[in-house]
Amino acid sequence: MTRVYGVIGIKAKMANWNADFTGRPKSTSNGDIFGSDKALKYPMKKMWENEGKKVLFIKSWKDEKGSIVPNQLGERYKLLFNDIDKKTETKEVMNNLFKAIDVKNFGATFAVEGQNISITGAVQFGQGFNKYDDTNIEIQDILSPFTDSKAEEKGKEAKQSTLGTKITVDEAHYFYGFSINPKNYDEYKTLLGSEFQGYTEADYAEFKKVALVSATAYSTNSKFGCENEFALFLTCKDEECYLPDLSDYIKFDSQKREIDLSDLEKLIEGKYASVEVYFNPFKLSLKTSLSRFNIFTQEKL
Amino acid sequence: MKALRFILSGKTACFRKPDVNVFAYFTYNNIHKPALLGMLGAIIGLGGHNQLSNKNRGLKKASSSYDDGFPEFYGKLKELKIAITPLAPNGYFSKKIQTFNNSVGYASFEQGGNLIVREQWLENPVWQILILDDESEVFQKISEYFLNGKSVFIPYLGKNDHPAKIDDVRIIELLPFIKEQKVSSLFEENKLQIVKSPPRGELSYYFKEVSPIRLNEQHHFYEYANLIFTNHKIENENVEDVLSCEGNNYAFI
Repeated sequence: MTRVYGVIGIKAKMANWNADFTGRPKSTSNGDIFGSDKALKYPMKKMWENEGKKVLFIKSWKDEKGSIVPNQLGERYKLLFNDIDKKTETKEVMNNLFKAIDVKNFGATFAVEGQNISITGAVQFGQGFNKYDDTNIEIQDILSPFTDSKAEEKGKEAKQSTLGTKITVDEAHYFYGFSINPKNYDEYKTLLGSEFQGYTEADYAEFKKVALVSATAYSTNSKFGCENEFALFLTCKDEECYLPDLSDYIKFDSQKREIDLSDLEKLIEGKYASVEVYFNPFKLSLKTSLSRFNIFTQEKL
Repeated sequence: MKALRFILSGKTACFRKPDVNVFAYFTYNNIHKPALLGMLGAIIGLGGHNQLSNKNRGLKKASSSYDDGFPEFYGKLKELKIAITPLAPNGYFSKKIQTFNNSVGYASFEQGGNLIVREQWLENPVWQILILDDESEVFQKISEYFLNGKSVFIPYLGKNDHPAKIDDVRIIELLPFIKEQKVSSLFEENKLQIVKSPPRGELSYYFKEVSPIRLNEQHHFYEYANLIFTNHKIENENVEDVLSCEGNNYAFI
């Protein structure tokens, strides 16, 4: 497996891809909207979980004295693998961790008593910045069906039900740069022996699948309207090839909804073995000489 | 004298300060020397803290196979001399606290299982970095990797969700220190004297930050120095480790 760089594009229409604590989309101090790497990894992990694959770092619940509370890390590990305590061999724990598909891709910080394991994942994302110029934040009032329960405590009588807010963007186009460096696992190949293969083509195939569809597949109230609209995968010629965050080199025309890859093509010239560009041909136009694919059917255009 | 020059930038960055871990994590304004050496080590494929702890896992401190030295990257790179120049007005980058929810529950023992992480980020940081050619093997390797656009591990700015952009790599020729002129890079407070009077026709600025400068030999935590970035002129007649290039002085720390 050689090194891969790429970009994942997410469209949000009347949706909220990644909110901060005020409920508005996450932003930098000059108002640029972005989504965190966590927001992108979550639908990927959810999709793997729904397919019945082992996913370690995701919320799961247990019944504790009649109340439902989240599992601790050790408990989650036990649920997927076997018992763990201070005496469990680190090698065994590492081997198990790599069996979880989220750890294999994104790495892990595993801190359970007696076990302190930190694995840098092969797949690393940057922040996904919005490249659409005219994004507006829409704040809607929504009616709650209930009266305020606190009103009684304050000695007032509530005659009306309460209001809430729902915050969305009218339109945003997020672009995440990512890299996949199989070398991150070379160290574990020596530690774990021949049983451990490192990051394989099969792992990459699984990642590619969720990279193309997981945001579209994941629908909650705030993320209905978020979909995968773009993806670029570049396989390097040289396994030690350095490229910066590729999302930085994508030009997006907000009027025409057009993605222009000419800067990126200049940057990567002579450095790749293959490049595939997936996009939504119904809503986007794409200016590139690289091979183009339909993101829904994955057919070559 | 020669040096390797490149521009290091990113959209966001976070070089965590280890001295505060309540409520929010803060970042240094500039990449510091141990972090920069770590990045260089990653590019040429040297081991870090993690590799050292994996090597020493399960071993007693007294045992003969226990490695009580530095992480590989620091042991090999600590003699390198570098000059860091923040490319921003007055050397100051804007920062904002970003908030994250960690709701997996097992990450903390918070009530309700929700841990709120607040992290201060640098925005659009850009630095010019110079690495002095000390004719060592490791410098040769670093310049080969930089000039040919190669890296073993992918470099990032403080944390791995902030990819680093490396541009404009070249080897430059260094000349002696230019007297009675400012230093265009960060320098250690106790090594250079600056003149009191402000520069003519300019508003004066003076940026000072307590910054990690080396790793402690025994415990591998940071040791600090006061780093200055100012447009005041230098009073000293003779200085060590200050060289010039294209009419600007740079202090190698």
